[in-house]
Amino acid sequence: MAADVRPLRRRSRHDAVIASEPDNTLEAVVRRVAHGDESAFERLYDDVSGAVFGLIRRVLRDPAQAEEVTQEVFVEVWRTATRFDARKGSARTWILTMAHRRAVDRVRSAQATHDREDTVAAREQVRVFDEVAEEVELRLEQQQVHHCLGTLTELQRESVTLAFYGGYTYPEVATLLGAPLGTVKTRMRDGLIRLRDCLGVTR
Amino acid sequence: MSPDIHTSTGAYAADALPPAEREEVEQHLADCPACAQEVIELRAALTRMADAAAEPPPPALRARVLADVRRTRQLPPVLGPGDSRGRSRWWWAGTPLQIAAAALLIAVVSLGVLLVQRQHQLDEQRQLVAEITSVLNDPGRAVTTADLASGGRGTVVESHGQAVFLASDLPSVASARTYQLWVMSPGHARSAGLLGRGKSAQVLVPAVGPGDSVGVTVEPAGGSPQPTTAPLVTIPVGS
Ligand SMILES: [Zn+2]
Repeated sequence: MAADVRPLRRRSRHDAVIASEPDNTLEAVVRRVAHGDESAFERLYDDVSGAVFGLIRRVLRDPAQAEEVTQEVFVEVWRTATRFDARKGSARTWILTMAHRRAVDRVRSAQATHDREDTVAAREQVRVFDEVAEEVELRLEQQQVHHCLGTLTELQRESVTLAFYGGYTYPEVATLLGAPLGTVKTRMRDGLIRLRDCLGVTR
Repeated sequence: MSPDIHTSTGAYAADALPPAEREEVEQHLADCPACAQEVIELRAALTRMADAAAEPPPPALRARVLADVRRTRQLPPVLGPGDSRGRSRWWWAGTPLQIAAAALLIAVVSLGVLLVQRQHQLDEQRQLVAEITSVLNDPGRAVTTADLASGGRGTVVESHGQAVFLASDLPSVASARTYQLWVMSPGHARSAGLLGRGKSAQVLVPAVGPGDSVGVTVEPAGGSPQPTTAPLVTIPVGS
């Protein structure tokens, strides 16, 4: 009935590409993590834990929950490093995408419970919206990002920051801003394209 | 499909789509390289926004994460001719449970491939793999995981009165001893087989009911009719 299973470790088809990568890129670190290298993982943690924790805390606000989700994200990074695919973006983006997704999943599963209970949710959201907006003003010291967000129209900027830092869906953002659904959706895209071009990022 | 699906990339990249639309866009991305590339770029821009929000995590978190990682098995890589579509969707779209289920499935399939030498064994193994797979793939399955007191981790997946027990990272036991699996109900235990000598194991546990637990003990080689040592772990079925 019982059996051993030892999955075959295979060299990646991208080894040729890896070999030419400088060893200190986060991508190379993730590949070492994929081989079970714990010291590479420590390095990865030290490199991205500030951004992971900060982003999750920004979305969830509660530091205890943010810690919990941060821990889950890093264990997930460890488990799935074997499946990182550099063609789909940088290692940093891979990790932070995972972090953001986990944070909003947490918000939305908590919210699903709340929504059934009460209509106070709507009033609550407006209050949170004010806090998010305020905090974005306060905390975007990182000059370039701050500067580039400043090049967006107000509706673009609010759509992007409420979605990303606030963890709201675009229909929620549309309600908060009193704007039509389709408009908010396209403003989100237009705003991010403008941000991308201003920051000069391609991947 | 909405006509303006190409304009959904921003909301998709920022995780701002409601679930139904998110799936629609994911399907679209598989067929639209322009949108897929745009999502990569917009996510890179969002990464900069994430960096701008960075703040130091509590120092104690580092040790907790590292301890967790030390006892967590990594997923096997995706094998075979790279279907980059399917691949990207694993880590963009997969929930942890889907990813775990996929890993289990891969493990089970390798079980079918690795184990068998003779035809009747093959048939038996196929039957076993089919049963294990049907439990793991049931959307209504209940999954419970717990650590063994001596190290390693056990997971019980239950579906319609059948369970699969999966063990990983088991420390080896002395050659005169073996891990044995039990179905335990109050005042009663029945053997569900031995776990073999590997670090991981998969066992089909038929006929489990509400209130049952699955337990693991260390027994003399060959196994015991009843447990002779305290369980290293007991995992309730279907909770
Ligand atoms: Zn498209």
